[in-house]
Amino acid sequence: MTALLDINGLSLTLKGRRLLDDVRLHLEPGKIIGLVGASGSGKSLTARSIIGLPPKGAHLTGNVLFDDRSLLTLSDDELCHLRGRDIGIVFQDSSAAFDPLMTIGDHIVEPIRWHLGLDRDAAVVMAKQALDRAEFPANIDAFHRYPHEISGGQRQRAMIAVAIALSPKLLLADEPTTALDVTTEASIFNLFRKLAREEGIAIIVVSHDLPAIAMLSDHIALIEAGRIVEETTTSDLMADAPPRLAAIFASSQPHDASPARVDSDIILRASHLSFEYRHKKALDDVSFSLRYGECLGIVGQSGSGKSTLARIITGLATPLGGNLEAAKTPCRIQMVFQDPMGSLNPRWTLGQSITEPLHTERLDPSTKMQRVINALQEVGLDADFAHRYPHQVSGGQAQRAAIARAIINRPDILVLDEPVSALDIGVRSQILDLLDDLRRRYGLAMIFITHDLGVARGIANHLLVMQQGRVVEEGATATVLADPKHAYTRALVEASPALNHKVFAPRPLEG
Amino acid sequence: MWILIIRRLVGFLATLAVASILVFFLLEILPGDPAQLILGTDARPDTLLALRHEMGLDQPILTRLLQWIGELLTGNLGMSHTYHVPVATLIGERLPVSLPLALISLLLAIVIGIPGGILAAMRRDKWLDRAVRVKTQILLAIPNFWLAMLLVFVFAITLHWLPAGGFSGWRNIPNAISALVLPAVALAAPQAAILARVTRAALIENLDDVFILAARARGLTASAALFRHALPNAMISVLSIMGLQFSFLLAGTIIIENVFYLPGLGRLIFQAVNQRDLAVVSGVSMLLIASTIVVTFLVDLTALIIDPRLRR
Repeated sequence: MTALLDINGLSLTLKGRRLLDDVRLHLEPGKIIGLVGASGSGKSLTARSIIGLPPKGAHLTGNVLFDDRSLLTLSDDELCHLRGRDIGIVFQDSSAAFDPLMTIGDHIVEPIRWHLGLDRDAAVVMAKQALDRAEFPANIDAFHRYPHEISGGQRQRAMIAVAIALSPKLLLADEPTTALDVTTEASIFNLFRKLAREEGIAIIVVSHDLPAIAMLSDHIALIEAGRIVEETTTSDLMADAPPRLAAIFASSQPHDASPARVDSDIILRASHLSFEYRHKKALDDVSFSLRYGECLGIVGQSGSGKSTLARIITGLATPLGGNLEAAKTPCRIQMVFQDPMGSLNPRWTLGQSITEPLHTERLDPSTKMQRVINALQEVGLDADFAHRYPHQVSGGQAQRAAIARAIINRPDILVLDEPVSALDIGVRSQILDLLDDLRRRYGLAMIFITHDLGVARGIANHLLVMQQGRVVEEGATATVLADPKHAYTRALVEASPALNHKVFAPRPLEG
Repeated sequence: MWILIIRRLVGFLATLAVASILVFFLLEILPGDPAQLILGTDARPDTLLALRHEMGLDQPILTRLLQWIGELLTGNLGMSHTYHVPVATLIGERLPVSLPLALISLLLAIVIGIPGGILAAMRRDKWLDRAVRVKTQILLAIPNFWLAMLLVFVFAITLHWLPAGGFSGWRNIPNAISALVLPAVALAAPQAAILARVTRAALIENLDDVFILAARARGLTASAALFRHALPNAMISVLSIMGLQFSFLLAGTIIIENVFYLPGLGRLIFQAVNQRDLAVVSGVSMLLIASTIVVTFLVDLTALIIDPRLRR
């Protein structure tokens, strides 16, 4: 079969640095290729280079043949005719990819009118069809809703509707499900498979999550430092994985069997907590207990009330009903957030950020510095990291610094809100190991909030499964995952690529 | 939406009330006795006492505050003791000079500043962008009374294109407008520079956003993406600056109207301060404050219409 897209020797240089080096890719209509790599490997750059929108100042060489046209030789005006019509793009962060002042529907109407010159009514009809094809919920009126008014999963579907409105031949999806929870991810993948099979759209999916896109793609290409280093069909991946892909897959598996239930005294007891947000129940009769040296995992989809619970535990919100009892007073609670780059002040050195919890104690500067160095060592960072700024370190190092800040005043309880979700898979397991180590060494009690059951399995002793503000299942982690009782827990386990043993066999199309 | 508007309206009225009380107390703590100032230092004590009684200055402070607010509510701003006419009449005479002047200046600032900012953002880091940045820097650094004198020297004294000052009323409209051109330019220049800089900065910030990349990915050309998506988003911050500028322009008339001998509010309040004509000072101050609050309110309303995120 002739190729729809043939990339040969694609290289990109930016400010003297070669960020893409001799990239080769080959894609046929109706096929899905998964481009896997760590952050900074050049996978998103590859996608942006194909559509001729690389970062400013980038210099591209090589050959990109799309539908018998050499894209790198086209002018921007000629590329404008292709973009949005023959090539659709789905971006990672749907909350940033929409114009906040425009309705969802108008985002779909825009390229239809731009490319076809239709009047508004005809374009609206086409846009509604695109929304249907993208399985955007029919009960939401896209023409009266703004991007901030719908959920992340719905925005992602709307973005797919924008991308497929004019039936492109090629769809580029840049980390399309990274910001979404597992059940939504599974349904978006299902939609991609349907578009490839029924409409013959060729799809490039860019992702850092190998198990996830192995479920979706026909081919997998591994990109490292701007080079495609390994390539294989997904069916070969199971039987005969090339060495690096095999290693990445191994490290993306849950890194430990679940730690056993801890039998110590209770440090925090929550009983019948409830909370309302904009007249909707965000928490409904939530009770649990946390023991010394225990990691309590709280899992659930977005909107299940996990983060509300974290806010109540840390005292950032007051519960409407129920109470929270700590075994000791004062009970020191510290928190670690999802995005370390967001939670660290960009204008402060890591040392300054880490010192901050000590502001209540009167310490001389040299003692403070010593405490900072100790905290850095405990999280596996050298003392000289104290003088660096967040933008000078990697995501994993920044998260280590955020953990150092959280443990510097020896808290009794550490609340972690999706602490590894923003990190690359390889870094993830290192951070989980670090947390597990801190828990064992200091008997630190931890509350670990995550949407990812694979992550929870590696770190949590005990599990609380939440849905719509309620605890639907609770028990020792190993028991809950091996034998889920509640339908919702079963659905989560099913949809979790890292737990799913049939991971490399692309699942048949549902429905 | 309506609840939000009503809430802003309540805030608007509350600000107005607080401002009126503040103006009253500020004038109260000014050194010197108004009656003494009117009569001079060699006035006889009984005349002074009589005048103080006539002006109500012998009443307790709370009574006078209530009186002041009551008079404001009925639109009675008191009598000017230098002109011996009601303050409201004075303002009515002067407003037709100052208001058009401020509006023309704002219009000039918008017409020059916003396209300048857009051009600079479109040609970012190229020579045009640099030229705009240097020019706006210079305009911001020049004091506007000096710019005004420079303009008079060039366009009035040397070229004789426009009058050097004075204002003969709106009966002859072309004359009236030509009298306002130079002052308006002098007032608008730094404001245009501010608008150009704010527009450029807001646009450039938005141009780096993912939604612009997404718009380009839908096939829009760079300029279409800028005008359809970056500009409306940038306008939200530009609009709030414009609101601040309008009040600045009204206040800026104090200096400019003196340079150009324009019989406007600025000159009125300047002279009133010199002559300790407190009724005029407080009346004009209240008017300036009220117009600032009204403009802020209108800006808030416009932002509410533009930005759906504010309408929760």
